[in-house]
Amino acid sequence: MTLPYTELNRQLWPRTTEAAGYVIRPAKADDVASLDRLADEAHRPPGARDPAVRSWRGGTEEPSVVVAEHSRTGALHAAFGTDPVRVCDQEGVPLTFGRVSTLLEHPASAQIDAPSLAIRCAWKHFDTFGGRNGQMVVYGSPSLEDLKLGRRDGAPGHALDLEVIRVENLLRLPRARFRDLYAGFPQLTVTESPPGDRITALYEKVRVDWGASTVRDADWYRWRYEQRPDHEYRFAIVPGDDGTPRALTVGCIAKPPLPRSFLLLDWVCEPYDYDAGLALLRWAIDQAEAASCSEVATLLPDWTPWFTHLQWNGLTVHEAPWFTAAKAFLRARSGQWLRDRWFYTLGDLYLGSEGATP
Amino acid sequence: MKGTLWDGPAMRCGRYEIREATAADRDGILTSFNRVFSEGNPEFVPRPEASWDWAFLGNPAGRQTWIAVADDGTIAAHFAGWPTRVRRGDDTVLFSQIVDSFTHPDHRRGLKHPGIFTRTANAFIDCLVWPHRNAILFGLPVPDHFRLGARQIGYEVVRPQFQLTLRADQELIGGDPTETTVEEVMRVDDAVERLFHRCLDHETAMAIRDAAFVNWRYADHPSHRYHIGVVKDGDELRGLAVYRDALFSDVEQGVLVDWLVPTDDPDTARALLAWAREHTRAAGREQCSLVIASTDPWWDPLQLLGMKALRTKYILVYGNLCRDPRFDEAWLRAHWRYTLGETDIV
Repeated sequence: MTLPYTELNRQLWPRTTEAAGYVIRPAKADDVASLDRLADEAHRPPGARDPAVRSWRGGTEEPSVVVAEHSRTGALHAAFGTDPVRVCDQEGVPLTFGRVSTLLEHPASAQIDAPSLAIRCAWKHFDTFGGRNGQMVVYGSPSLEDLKLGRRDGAPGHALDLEVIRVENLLRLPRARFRDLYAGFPQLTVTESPPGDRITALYEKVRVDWGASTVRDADWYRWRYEQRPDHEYRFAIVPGDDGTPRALTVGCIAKPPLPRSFLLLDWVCEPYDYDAGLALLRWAIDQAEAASCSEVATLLPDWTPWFTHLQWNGLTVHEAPWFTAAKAFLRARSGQWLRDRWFYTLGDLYLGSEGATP
Repeated sequence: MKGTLWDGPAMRCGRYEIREATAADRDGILTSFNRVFSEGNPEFVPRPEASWDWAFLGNPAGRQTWIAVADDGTIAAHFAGWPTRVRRGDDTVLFSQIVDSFTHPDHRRGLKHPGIFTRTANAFIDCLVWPHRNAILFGLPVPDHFRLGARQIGYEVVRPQFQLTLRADQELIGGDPTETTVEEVMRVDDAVERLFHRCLDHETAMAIRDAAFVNWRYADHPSHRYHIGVVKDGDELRGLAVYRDALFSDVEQGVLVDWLVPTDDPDTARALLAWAREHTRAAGREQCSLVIASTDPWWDPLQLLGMKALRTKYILVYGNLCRDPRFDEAWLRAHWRYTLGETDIV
């Protein structure tokens, strides 16, 4: 009889960062045009190649990209890349994560025996940029199609050792319930200017409850929200008695194909500062009503107290059609550690090459 | 379908014989099981024979237990599934939860590359993971076991599992029901299967709730006390829920182990939820929880009654090792309706 499982187990791919007829190497500055052409040929939507968005997206850090260059023609046939993200743990130790920004494969490369060129590029990327002294976690929100690139038919595990960290859930408050709840929320002063350097004091307070989080400082907010060229964001800050931020959120109106929601992309609020948090929610309802949005929605890790607090204040939990996957290079920062401790919001996830995810 | 699913020969690997277990292997399995799971666990209670008979001989979906037997008769490795008959459209298939896997400590170095456990697991998978046997394997491992399963068995994540939780001191939003009453029964009859078919959506996969399953799973359980609550309409059932006071996800709480209510009957749902909350109060517990898929049609309505979505320590995983295209990752996430009743956790 056929033994399907054990037979397939023998077909594990050799881990190789080479491919006959190709040079697999880190990308150079002058590869940009070739990467654009590859994206066209790989049938990726054009949003990612808007020069303004591309120039913005790398931020202050150089993207880490590995490409497969055809030896004879010089054309790029595959690429895997990440944008470095400044993270710190709860003790304040700086870490670097990598957010997957590029996963491209030319149709012509389908003739390459498994593993695919893109997988080989990813392995080379991990060898070059990953690990204890580099990007210790590489994460992204791949489509199922993207995830399948790393699946070996019938064999266990993922070629890239990617682990699904979370099937994402949105906390949502539909328009029909805005007014029922609104009256009960505290009415504190909310300012709408960018946070500036004074956000650091609030971040230092909240991050002690977060195992790891993107460093939320003035530079990050400036780059992530003020400088992004294709979206408009609104800051909301509840100031404390001394004028420093007591709680912060960032909102925007979702673009099609997402429903017209008022999305809260960030949520920085001490776990039991209910008044400040609910004042932000009240502000979001005002914004949503003014913009005729059908709901207020946000994403918070399920271990944060605010995931529960917001439910007690009328929001309900709904599974979203995307998930976050990660490769963790260190045992101490495993997938389960990320699941239990990593604080991220919509603003930390992949930044919308299609222009739909803000 | 009850009974063995495999009629092939045993396999010989060195001093071990790998084969399907029979009822005669029970005592040997329990001896090894009790040795393995008592290690480092001073509170371990040896598993009684009646519990094994119930779990592995009584299951109306059949028995799926593979063992490696050493020359001296010791059960050196054990890999077992807890199959459940699942209805998808007009088809009935098996989903099997992997349970009670172990290697006897004296035999962990018995064979190399692969070891005796992997060989036993592979034998199980080779023989039982076929579209007409087990469409998928699944489990709700805790984190420590999750990575092992992902590497060795090819588990994929369906979702980190939530529970919907109602506090014992909480009133239902919109108030308790006044006219719909819940009756407790010791056993169920064929009316439960008719209820199941009213709950079944052609686009979903759901474990079959018939009298054979419900009575075996709850009424005949040798050690746990389940409360079966039903809302009746004459001889027919409008809904069924099963409650147990239990430890789940490290919290002593009321657990709604099963939930079978047509989505067009919110009154019945409200009544059964209030009934479970009363049991929770009587047991002195602080909360009552139900585990269902986040895509289940009851997910939203139960939140609107006041239940909150809280994380559990479990991750729902599956292995579609026969690559049955009917049950791929996206489909299972969107269409698989389940409760804890299909698992051995509560």
